[in-house]
Amino acid sequence: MSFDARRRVLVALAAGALWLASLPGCDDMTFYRAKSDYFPLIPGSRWTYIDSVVGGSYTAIDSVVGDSAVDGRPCVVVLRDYAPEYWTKQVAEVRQFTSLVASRGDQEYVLEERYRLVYALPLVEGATWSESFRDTIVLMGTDTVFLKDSLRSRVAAIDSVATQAGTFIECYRVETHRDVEAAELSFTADYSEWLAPGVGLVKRVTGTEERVLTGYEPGR
Amino acid sequence: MLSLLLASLLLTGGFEAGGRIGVVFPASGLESTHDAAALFGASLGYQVGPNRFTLDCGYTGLQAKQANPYRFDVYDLSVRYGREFVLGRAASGPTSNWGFEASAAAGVALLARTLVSARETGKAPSGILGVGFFQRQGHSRLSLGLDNIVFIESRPAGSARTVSPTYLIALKGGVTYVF
Repeated sequence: MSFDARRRVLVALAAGALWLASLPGCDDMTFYRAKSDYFPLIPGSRWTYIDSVVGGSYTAIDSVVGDSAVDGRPCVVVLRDYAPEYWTKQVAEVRQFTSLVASRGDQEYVLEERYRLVYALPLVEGATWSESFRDTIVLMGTDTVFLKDSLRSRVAAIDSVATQAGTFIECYRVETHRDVEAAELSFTADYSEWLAPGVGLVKRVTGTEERVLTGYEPGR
Repeated sequence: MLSLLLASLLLTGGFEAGGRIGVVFPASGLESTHDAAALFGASLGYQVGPNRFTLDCGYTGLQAKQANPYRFDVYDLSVRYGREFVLGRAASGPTSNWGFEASAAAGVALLARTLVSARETGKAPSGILGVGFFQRQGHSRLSLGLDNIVFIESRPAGSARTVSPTYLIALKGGVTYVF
């Protein structure tokens, strides 16, 4: 290799070193998001929210009380305003046990009882997921109910959320459309949720209601 | 003065170019959702006596723990200084030797998290501390080593900022051609 060629390569190495030295501090928190748990289900965790609805507001408390098994699957019990909910979390998804029960006469009929998909993991901006469940149930021998429970979600953005409990950075905003057709139990819901790293749900907005975190105590 | 220093470096040192492969093990929280992955890299270097300066680039694609079309790509570009500690010379001549090398590097990583068509990109500064074994013979230099790669991210914590380090441990083997 000639002297000039050597000099050019050495200058290029030095220029590369100077360019790299100027880069520290320009991080985008990608590793932080990649390793954070956006839906911690640790026993002892407790979230306090203020729910604002038309005509007033009230305090809601969620807490993780421990493990259980429902419908033959191990799950985590979350008390939402003291009513139990059953959740399962794996590397690729979070599911919630859902039960829809219709009444006919003096009898109750189960229309839907399963773990429905809530979040597909890991959360990545722009990711989408969906699930549709259909069934046909005959009530009292003659009354046929066609059931459809579908969900479509999208990770719409990465936001910072200011709450009474503090400002949470690197939150994923998940927008969801859920459509349930089940006789008198039918409903449609559109809502946005903000999930914070290491905390979980910090804000939820539906058409008429806003739930915002006011306190969080992590479990052990 | 600078020209003299540069000229003396050019006269007494030598260039080298090479590649490396290895395995990267995620740590510091990443390991709960990411599996180990292969590492590929290339480097261009210059050596003066026991001192080596290299410009390294590397790639690894971390996969999810479960069957999932998720991938976390890490492209790393760094400048490394290494010092060789020669412990022995082989019988085949004065250009043959072996020993250990300790190195330190600073660089930047370009990152991409991909899930089906969703994609997040970012970057983070990185630092590397490495140790390894090398054997040099004629124009070739073989190496086997361990790198501790730390990516530094800072984030707000109240009114201050806190540092969030993430570690990747790399076991690598490389071959270099010395000009």
